Formats: sequence, C-alpha cells, structure tokens
Amino acid sequence: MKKYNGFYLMGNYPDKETFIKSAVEGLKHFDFLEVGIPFSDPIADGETIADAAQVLIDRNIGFTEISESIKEIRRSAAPEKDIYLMTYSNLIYNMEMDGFNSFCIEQKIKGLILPDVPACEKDFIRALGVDKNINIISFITPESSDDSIIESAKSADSFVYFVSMRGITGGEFNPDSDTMRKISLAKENASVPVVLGFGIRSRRSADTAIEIGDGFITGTAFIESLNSSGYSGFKNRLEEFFI
Amino acid sequence: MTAMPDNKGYFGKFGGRFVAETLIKTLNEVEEAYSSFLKDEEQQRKLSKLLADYAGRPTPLYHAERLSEKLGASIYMKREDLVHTGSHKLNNALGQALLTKYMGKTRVIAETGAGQHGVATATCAALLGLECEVFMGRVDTERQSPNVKRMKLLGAKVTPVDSGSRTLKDAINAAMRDWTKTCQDTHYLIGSVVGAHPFPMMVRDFQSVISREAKNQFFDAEGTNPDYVVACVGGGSNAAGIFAHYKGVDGVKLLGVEAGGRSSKDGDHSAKLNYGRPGIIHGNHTYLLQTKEGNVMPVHSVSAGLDYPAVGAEHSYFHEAGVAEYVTCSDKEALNAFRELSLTEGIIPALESSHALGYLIENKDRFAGKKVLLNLSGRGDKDMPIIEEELGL
Ligand SMILES: Cc1ncc(COP(=O)(O)O)c(C=O)c1O
Repeated sequence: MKKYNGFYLMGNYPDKETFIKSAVEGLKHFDFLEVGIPFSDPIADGETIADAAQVLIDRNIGFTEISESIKEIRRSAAPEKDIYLMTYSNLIYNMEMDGFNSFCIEQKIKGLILPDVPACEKDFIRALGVDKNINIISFITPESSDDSIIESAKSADSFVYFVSMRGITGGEFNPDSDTMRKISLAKENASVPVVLGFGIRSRRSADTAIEIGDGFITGTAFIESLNSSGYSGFKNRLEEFFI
Repeated sequence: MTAMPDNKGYFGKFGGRFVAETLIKTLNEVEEAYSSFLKDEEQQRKLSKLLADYAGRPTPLYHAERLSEKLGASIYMKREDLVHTGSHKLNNALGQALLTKYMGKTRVIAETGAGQHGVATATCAALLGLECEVFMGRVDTERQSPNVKRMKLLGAKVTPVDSGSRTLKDAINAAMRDWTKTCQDTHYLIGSVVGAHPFPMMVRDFQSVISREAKNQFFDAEGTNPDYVVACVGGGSNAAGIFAHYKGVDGVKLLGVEAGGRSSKDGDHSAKLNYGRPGIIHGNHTYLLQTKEGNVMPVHSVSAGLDYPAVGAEHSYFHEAGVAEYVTCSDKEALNAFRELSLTEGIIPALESSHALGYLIENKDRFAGKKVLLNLSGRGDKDMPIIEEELGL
C-alpha cells in the first residue's frame, strides 16, 4: 500500500493568512490535510485543540470564513492532494445541506472526519443529506472488537482512521502488542490505507506509525508550534518530519 | 405505550450514541451488564436494602396544608429532600455504584453542577470502596462550596474545570474526556438522564423508584391520581423519575419546569425545550440551546443544577409527542418560592426544586381546586452562599 500521511490544522488558526500558508506548505509533503472547523464542546480533543477552537469561536469565525480559505488552498496546492473536514456532528446537523454539498464537491472535499460519530450513527448523519460522494471516515480503535474491525475495514472509504491510543488528541502514542495486532487485522481487511492518528507528535512516532500502519496523522504538535512561534514554528516542525 | 428507548437507544428520533468510537465497546458492556444486573436477584436485593436502610426510602409524601390553603390547591410533596445526602441524586448513584462493582470496575468518575450528584457519587464510592473523581465547573465550585467540602470529606478528588463556561456542560466534557482514556477500569457515573445510550434509560429506571412509591402513596391519601405532576428539569432525572409511572395515565398532566433565568433572551436562561431546537450534544440527539451554526450557547440559571444547555433525550420526545408539557420559572420566582416554602412549611428547598414550586405559585389560577404532586427533589442547605447573596440574609 502506498503511504498516505496527513496533517491537521484548525481552519483560520491562528489567523487566516498563516493557516493558508501553512496548509499549502504542508501539502508539499503530506498527502492530505484535515481542516478543523471549531465546535464549542470538542469532547475528543485535548486542551491545545479545544483552546484553539475557543479562540476562533470568540472571534466569530466558523465554516463560512474557513470555506473561503479552503478555496485559496485548493488554488495553490497540487490537485492530487486530498482535503477533509474535521468537526463534530452538531455542526453538520446544522448545515444548510445544499450549499454544503456543492461546496464540498466543487472544492473536492474527500470526506468528513467526525470524532463523535461512531459506526452505529453513520446512517443518522448520512440521512441529514450529506452527498454520497463525500465519505464519512471510519474509525477503528484499540477498544474495537475483531468483528467490528473487520466490518469497518471492509466497508471503509478513502482511509481507515486508526485511533492509535485510548484517549483524546494531544496524548502519547505508544501502541501495545494487542493494538499492533488490531492494526494488522485492519490492514488485512481494508482496501484503503490504515492511517494512525492521535498522539503522533515526533519524527520517531511518525516513523513507527508508517512502519506498522499505512501512514500517520499529526495535529496537536503543529498547533503547539503555531502557538509558540507562528509560521516559522510550523515550518520547523514540518522539516522535523520530512528532512 | 411501547417500550422506549428502542435497541439503538432512541426515544422516537431522540437519543443515540454520538461518542468516540473508543467508547462504543464500553457502552455495550454497560448495556449488557445493566441488563443482567436487573435480572440478578441478589443484586436487586442489595439495591432495595440500600435504598431502604441507607438512603431512607420510601420517602414520605407530605400534604403541605398551609401552602395548599394559600394557593387554593391541594399540594403534595414527594420528599426527595429527605433522601440521605439531600436529594434524589442518590437513587441513581446507588444503582450505578452497585453496577460498577458488578462489572468489576474499581473507579467512578462523575460530573456535578449543584454538587448534589457529586456528593451522592462520593458517598456511594465511600460506601462501596471505590476510587472517585468528580469534575465540577470552577463557577459551580464557588457557588456551591459547601458541597465541595462534603465531597472531599467523603474521600473524593474534586477537579475544577476551567474550560468553556466553567459550569455543568464543561464538567461533562471533562468527564467524557477522562472516560475515553480510563474506560477499562472506570465507570462514568452520569448524574442525569443525559448522555449516550444506555444512560438515559438506566438513570430513568433508577429514578423511577420516586413515582413507584408516590403513585401508591398518593392513591392512599386521596383515593385517586393527581391532576398534575410537577418537577424541575435540568438534565431531567428527577422529572423522569416522577413521570415514569404516570406516563400515559388518564387525567394526569405532566409538567416539567425549566429554568427561565433572567429573561427569555439568549444566554439569560436554560430553557432548552421552550427556546431551543434539536441538536447533538454529549452523546445524544436532543433539544439544545445553540447558535445558528450549532455551537452551544452560554446559559444561565441562579440554580447550578439547572444551568445546562441540553436535556435528556426522552424529554425531547415527550415534548414533541405531547406526553408532557414544559414551562419556565424565572430566577426571581424561584427565589421567591424558596423563601415561601421556608416560611410557610418550615422546609428549605433546593433552588432547583424551587423552580417547580415557583411555577405553581406564579400560576396558581391554573391549579385552583386541583390535586398536585410536586417533586421536592432536594434540600437547600447547599444553596446558602447564593441565598446570602441574592436574598441578603
Ligand atoms: C436537588 C436537585 N434537583 C434537580 C436537579 C436537576 O437535575 P435533574 O433535572 O437531572 O433532576 C439537581 C441537579 O443538581 C438537584 O441537585
């Protein structure tokens, strides 16, 4: 399987220009970008990402503003790069669906990553009217049973998001042997890449993820770098991963 | 009435399991364990015994004669304020704490607003030898400080939550984050009929002891059912408990009273069924106070236990299906009722419960000549810091 690596940025964070510049630069190395749309009660996120979301909400920045930035990123990034939206179910629930679907199709949004939508509630979200060309990404976790791993892996579109640890974003990546076995089981049954995310913040953990999975996703580490030293911080972090 | 919720945890279109995939296996385990717990005679005997000897059940049904005379109605109070620890919250905490042991888990976590559920959980943890951590919004730790001290005395760790509005909803977020990490040895002892399936069902069942007793007690006293059953609604557990055996009973009108706060303006109240619309929060599809985009709106109530932007899924279903009616009571009306009950009956009610009473007092014409069953969900000692400030004692 060809490697499929992704990075997460919160849309328009810390500001619109820095976000766009970081996204375009990152997509020179990564295969896909996850754009976070801020939600007030992000239960799957740790402090770093939750605080970034709150900053945007306080400034009244949401999907409307971030979608404009995504159009600019699309104009600058190589066309084969993928973009996903990462947010929580209530924002999708409240979307004006026709407009949302046309935006996603025009900008080639590949899918939605919704951390509060487990496999058993995917149909509920689909029934809100999300276009069938927009994938709803499947999660597999160290807690998933073998049966559900096989089922999710077989039916997954775009990629399988393997949540590589119990907990929320910003924790530590340290898969135990049972988790390793589950990653292999997912790989055996999936026709799309099995990508490891949550807790991957260094070159070393990324290398491990690539070795045992089909790719890695990193996010909190970039938000921390943006917080401490803006775009140059982001750029340094990026180089750590790829040079 | 058909059995609710369905096997996916839906009450009509409300409910469900909107949580991280990581928690699904744990929720399945809780659901299965709860189902066998209900069938396990030894466990049920243990629970009944604790409810009787430890919690002090059955609680009395009290005919408030002076208040009845004043309002021109016949008012009965189900005295949940007399349950050990001072509110109905212990009914559910005892059930879930026993379930925790039954599942072989060693630690419980809980969210709390007024601190009553935190105290009830800490109490059960002490009783059964479980480790306990309670998440509480920083604002609430200040306005309900007596309860923080009680929890610590009972051996619980109290973790103040500084994110978001620093109230009940943020305490739930913090507890859910903890549980996603610790679910292997920890049970999240949710304090109201909220959250993902099976919690809304399970908490309702544990609280239904309230109307199981009250229905017989009321019948013994009056030879008939009440015309109105009234309860305050925060997350909705005391209301779910007192509604449970009256749902669909002819001639009985169910009234849930939400916190009307300062005004009906956004941010001034916590009345989700009156002023909100459906959304998805804390694991379920339910009524929610939210912005146009779907971010959760700041809410307000003088009472920390009602200061919550959402409500249990079953109440959303009751609201749309007309099974119950939901009304509001303002901060001022509740404070007035708080004083009124203290002076007229010598009972100091919780500020939450004062909302149910406040609606009754403000709308006495509606209840003229009627028989009313009011759930007095808790006692008001914990509210002294707010009362000192608001009523200037
Ligand atoms: C005495 C009392 N009543 C009512 C409530 C509100 O909760 P619920 O609506 O779940 O009964 C609380 C919550 O803290 C409480 O302490």
